[in-house]
Amino acid sequence: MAAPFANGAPNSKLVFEKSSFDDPKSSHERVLNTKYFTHNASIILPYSSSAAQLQFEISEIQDQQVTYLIRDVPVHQLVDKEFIEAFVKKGQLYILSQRRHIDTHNCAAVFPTGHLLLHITKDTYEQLGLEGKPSVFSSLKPTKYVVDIDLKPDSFTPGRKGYDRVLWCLKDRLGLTFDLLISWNPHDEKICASSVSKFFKSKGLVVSPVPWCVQTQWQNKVRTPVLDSTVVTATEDACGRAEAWEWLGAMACGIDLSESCADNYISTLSCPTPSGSCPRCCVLSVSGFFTPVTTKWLLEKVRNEVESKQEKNKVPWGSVTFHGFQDSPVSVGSREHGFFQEGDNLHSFLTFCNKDYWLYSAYGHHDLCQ
Amino acid sequence: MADDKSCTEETLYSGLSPSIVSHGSKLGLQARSMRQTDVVKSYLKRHLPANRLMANEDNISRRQVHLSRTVKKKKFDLTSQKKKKLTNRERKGMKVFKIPKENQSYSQQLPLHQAWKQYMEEVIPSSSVSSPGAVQAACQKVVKAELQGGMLTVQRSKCPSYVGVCGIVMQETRHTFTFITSSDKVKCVPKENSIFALELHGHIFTIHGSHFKVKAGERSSKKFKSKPTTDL
Repeated sequence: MAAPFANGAPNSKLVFEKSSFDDPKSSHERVLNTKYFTHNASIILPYSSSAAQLQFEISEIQDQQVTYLIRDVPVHQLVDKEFIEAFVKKGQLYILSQRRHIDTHNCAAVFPTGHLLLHITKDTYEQLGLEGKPSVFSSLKPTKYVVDIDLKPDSFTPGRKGYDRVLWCLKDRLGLTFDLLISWNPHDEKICASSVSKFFKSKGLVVSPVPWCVQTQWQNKVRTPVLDSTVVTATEDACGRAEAWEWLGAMACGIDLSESCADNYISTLSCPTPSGSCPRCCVLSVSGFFTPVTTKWLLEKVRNEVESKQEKNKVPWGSVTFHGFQDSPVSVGSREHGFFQEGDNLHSFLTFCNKDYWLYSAYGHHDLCQ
Repeated sequence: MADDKSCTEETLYSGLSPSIVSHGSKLGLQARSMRQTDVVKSYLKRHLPANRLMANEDNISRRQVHLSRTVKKKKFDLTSQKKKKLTNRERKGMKVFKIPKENQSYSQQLPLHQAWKQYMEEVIPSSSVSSPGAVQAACQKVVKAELQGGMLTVQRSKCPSYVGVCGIVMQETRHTFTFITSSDKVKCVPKENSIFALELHGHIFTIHGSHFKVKAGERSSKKFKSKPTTDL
């Protein structure tokens, strides 16, 4: 009897888009704005001069946003009216629970749209008392439920039935607590982004700034694939999108792609043909908790690098990859995300001098795709 | 053959053709005289069973008549039997189980709750639940005790809207509990897929509704078996 395997082979998706930054319908803004939580950004810049230097200081990244880690936050603090008025309704608030596994633990997130998303297990859901929906990826017997609470409407205020019920469920029933990563973008330049940390400190919680770490690698004499923004499938003159994607991944992982290592025991990957020689290649990786503010800034910097006219720093193309959190409840926008086998959700921009770009969006098995 | 006379030759043979009648003697046909009673008798003898052929049918000496007991045959009327009892559905339709609006107040039910407390004190004296072993025994008693008038809380439910409902039990059916909450709301919560909590003498007893689906009256005599899973 031929029966299909339930949850057999992982159903990973890779979406390729080719567009231009000048195109009014270009989706890069939309993608970056709705990718709320980014864990890691890796930049690859193959310079054509051996004396090349990065044109921007990566340490400026800390001016873009400040992130705080707050330990053991009772989740009812997030529906506190004072908090909603001060931070949720004004500016952009990004909150993500940390050190929780999406498939087995309770997770929480707040988006700038003003939605509090609780991704909770079946046991918690049955005791919590808030209406939710079973997770999209669950089978006949759901093990995870998603409770979506809109914090922004005016009716969500003390004294109203809905608010009182939510507060009672979160405060008096289970006492859910999370370690939260918080980043707030003020609506007004006069207000400091650190006021969100002050608010939680006043509630007697331990607040610590989240560090970010940079790994910069300069590789000399690397073979790089020759790419043309108009040639998507491989030809004799240029590599295609699939080869380029593979090469980018191998570089980011630090795999030796030189021809002498082609019959290596660990990896038999080598640079796709046609390839050119690159005297100095920069592989940079930044990890931390990044919001769209930072990711847009990083893409801007990579674009400047690629589009710059300086002979010394000439780059035929550059790539920046944004890895989302593996245990984030959403991948892009409000699309649900799960881990299952890999939990990947990443967006990779391959930019060219003529303002064209290739966008690779990779999603794991438990991810919705447009 | 209307009258009781012997058939004449004319009447008897009137159906035959005139040539046979006139030349009958030449052919050797003999006339037969026949009485009507004979015809009837011979006919009956041929066709009726033997026991019906008794002589002196009109003689009452042979007839048995019971004078002592006159048994009237009861007519079994199905419809009248059915009408005696109402089905549960009919009772429901007549709103027998409905609690009238004026009785739907929490304060009115408080004396019932007090009475229930006294009753529980009799069933499980508060002094008897000090040791863990005694609590185990008390559990067996709680399972069989009357719950109408008790204060129950929905601790856990597959449907989150039921979670947190707390009140005095007004009615218990096989599948549901009907509560009256402190805000004078009547709420009917199904036992299936819910877990209830009952506070008694400083202990909280948890009732797994899915395993508790017995009529209140039958519950006292039911033997509860341990179930492998308590998952909803």
